[in-house]
Amino acid sequence: MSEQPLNSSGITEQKKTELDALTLQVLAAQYDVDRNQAIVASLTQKVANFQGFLSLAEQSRTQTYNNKTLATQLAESVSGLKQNSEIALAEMNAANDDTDKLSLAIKQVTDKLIYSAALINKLARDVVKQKALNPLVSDELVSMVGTAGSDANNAVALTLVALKSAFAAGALNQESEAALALEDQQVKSLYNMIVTSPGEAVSLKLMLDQSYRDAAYDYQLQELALKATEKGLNDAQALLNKAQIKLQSLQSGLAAANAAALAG
Amino acid sequence: MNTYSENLWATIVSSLQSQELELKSFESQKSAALFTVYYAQGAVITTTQKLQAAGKHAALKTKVKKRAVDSNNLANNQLVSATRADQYMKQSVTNMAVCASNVQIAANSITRLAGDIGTIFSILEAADQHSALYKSAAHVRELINDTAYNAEAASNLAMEASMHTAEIASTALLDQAKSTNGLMNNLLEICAAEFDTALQAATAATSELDAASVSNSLAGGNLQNIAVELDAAQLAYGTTNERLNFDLNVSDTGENSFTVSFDPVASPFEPNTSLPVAQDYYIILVKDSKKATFSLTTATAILEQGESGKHIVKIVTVAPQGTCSQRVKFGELALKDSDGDEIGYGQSYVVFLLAVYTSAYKKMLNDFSDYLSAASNTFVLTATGPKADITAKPMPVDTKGDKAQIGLTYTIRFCSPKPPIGDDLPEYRCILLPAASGLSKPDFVFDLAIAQQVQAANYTVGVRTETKAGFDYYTAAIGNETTDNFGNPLIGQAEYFVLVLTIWPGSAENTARFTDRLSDLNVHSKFQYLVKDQS
Repeated sequence: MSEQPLNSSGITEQKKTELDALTLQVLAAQYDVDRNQAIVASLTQKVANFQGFLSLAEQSRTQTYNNKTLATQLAESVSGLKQNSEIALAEMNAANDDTDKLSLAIKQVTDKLIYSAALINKLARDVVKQKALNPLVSDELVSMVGTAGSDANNAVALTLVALKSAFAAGALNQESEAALALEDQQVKSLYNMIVTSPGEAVSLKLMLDQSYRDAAYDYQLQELALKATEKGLNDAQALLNKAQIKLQSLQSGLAAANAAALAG
Repeated sequence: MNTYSENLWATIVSSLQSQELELKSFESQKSAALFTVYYAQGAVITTTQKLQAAGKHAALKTKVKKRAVDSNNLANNQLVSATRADQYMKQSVTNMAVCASNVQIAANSITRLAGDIGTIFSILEAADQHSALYKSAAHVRELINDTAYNAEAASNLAMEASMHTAEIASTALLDQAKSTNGLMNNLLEICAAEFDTALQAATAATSELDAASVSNSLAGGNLQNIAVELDAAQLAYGTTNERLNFDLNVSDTGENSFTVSFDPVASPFEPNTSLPVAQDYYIILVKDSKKATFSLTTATAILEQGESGKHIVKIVTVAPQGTCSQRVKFGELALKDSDGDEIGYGQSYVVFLLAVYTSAYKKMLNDFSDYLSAASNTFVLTATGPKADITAKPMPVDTKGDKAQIGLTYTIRFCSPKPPIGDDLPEYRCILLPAASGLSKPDFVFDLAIAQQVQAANYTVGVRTETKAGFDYYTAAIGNETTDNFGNPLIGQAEYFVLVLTIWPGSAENTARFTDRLSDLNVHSKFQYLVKDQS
């Protein structure tokens, strides 16, 4: 049995060489663990950053979605208003046509009545004259023409009231139509500004719709970015776990070898 | 060596040591200052980007708010006109109702008159059908009947006009205008609040940028100061080394060799060119960590082993005067260090110069020791590693027809000379640097030392795709998750420089055999990160 040279701790040179090699492997594995740990730490930070970005993107998406919903409600309301305003104006136009016809008709009736009343009064005078010449003319007729005269006066008076009232109403209706027309014109401008404006600047609704689309797109981008970063972190974590296991196993091996060397 | 010489040697070593410590301190201060400048510049760039984004956001919110304000003004006017229209309409309805009633009353009175005339006509008809009265009564009856008929028609018309006017839903219209106005006011409030927030963010970003600029300027000033101090320290070390340590220097360190230069030992009195003080010079490679304990005794012991021990190198050509210089091909010589260990790459070393005095000189002084210099400058042995080159402008990955694809993926292409066989492969890290428009290089400090410190989150490792004619070809993918060297996500339409850091795997103790290298900027290095429009 050949005697191997001993060093101060009583371990053979060959064993020492083995132990040194194992120590170097442990150091290399430790370096690998440290390196992977740094990568995991860096990617963990990056994931946290991207989570922050995603959360901001989500807030923005929610906010722009709410705005878009409000803009849609507003647009619907303005559309309804525009429609009803158009209907009201058209109805007012039609009503004014009626009023116009009415004023013509009332004038005609008044003219005819006044002419007729003049003839009635003449008839009444003729009857009264006839009665003076001929007593056989019936009293009933005389009394009747008196009534007719008084009724004619009354009818003319009432018709003039109607005439005045019809023209007053007609005039007011024209003003009302003008007010409705102004209202309608403003609704149209409002509609253009809020809902659509071909050839003009972008409407409020289109702006808010676009804001939502941008925010939704940005959210998707951030989601993809986060997913990709998380995948990178998982891969790095797996490598770190592997490196840690290797280090542990080498450390155990070194401890066992040390113990064996000292025992032997 | 006699006691005097020993004392002198100790003084020289201590002087050089303190100078070197000073130098190292300034070097590390400069490196720290450079990093401070880098981070300060990064902060300026980051806050500038933030300000630009905040400005863009605020501009958009301004546009939206402007439109909301205009819309709201119009809605307010519309509400006023709807209110007025409703008031008019209410009056119209009343007036028309009154009118219809008046026309009805008038028509009734005309009908009553027609009735009177009818009675008169009947009486006259019964009395005398040929009288003039009868004839005129018949005429009047015709006229009044016609008038009564017309009056009845007018009354119908008035009723219809009244009905139609009353049908107009002006109050409902006003209610609708009110609710529209309410919705509009609400939306304006939101848009105005968002505008305020965006404006505050932009203002805050401006302040941040101001603060970052101040820090940057301070960091730059500090770096300048330290650079000046470092220059002075280098000069001082150089002078001390020249006057006290034979100007011993190691330079041009390579993979297998380095150059040693020094001034030969001179006689303190009249130099005698024919009689040199020292007959032989040797250099010994010592680990930097061991230089404090390396002594003449150890050096002499190594010298006694002779050159066969491969721990020592004799300087072959020495002129008695002037600077001597020798290329030490340690690889060829299989040179070992003072511990007898093989030369390790990445290890810090110094050399010592051992001057063997001539026998005559020794006898004259009756001192038979030789002379050992103080340690030279510290140096590390590495080989220049292969350098990567960007081979094409980064190109967007074609995603035409793929609607599911969102955002942009770019591919970076680069190549590198094939590393020597048997070595570990280096890692190729693609780093994207934000580019100021119009500049052909980054407007912030970025060197190898900084590139080596860029975190894993902020670079993309290249993947080898093929090997051709001694070159390895690599690609690296840029995506939505890619960040620039400062860790900021890439900005659409912005320009970037691509650099590739070739980094060699080290170990806990030593760095690799090859030095890490950073690719040069070339025509392909700058590209615009164009982001696809989502619509």
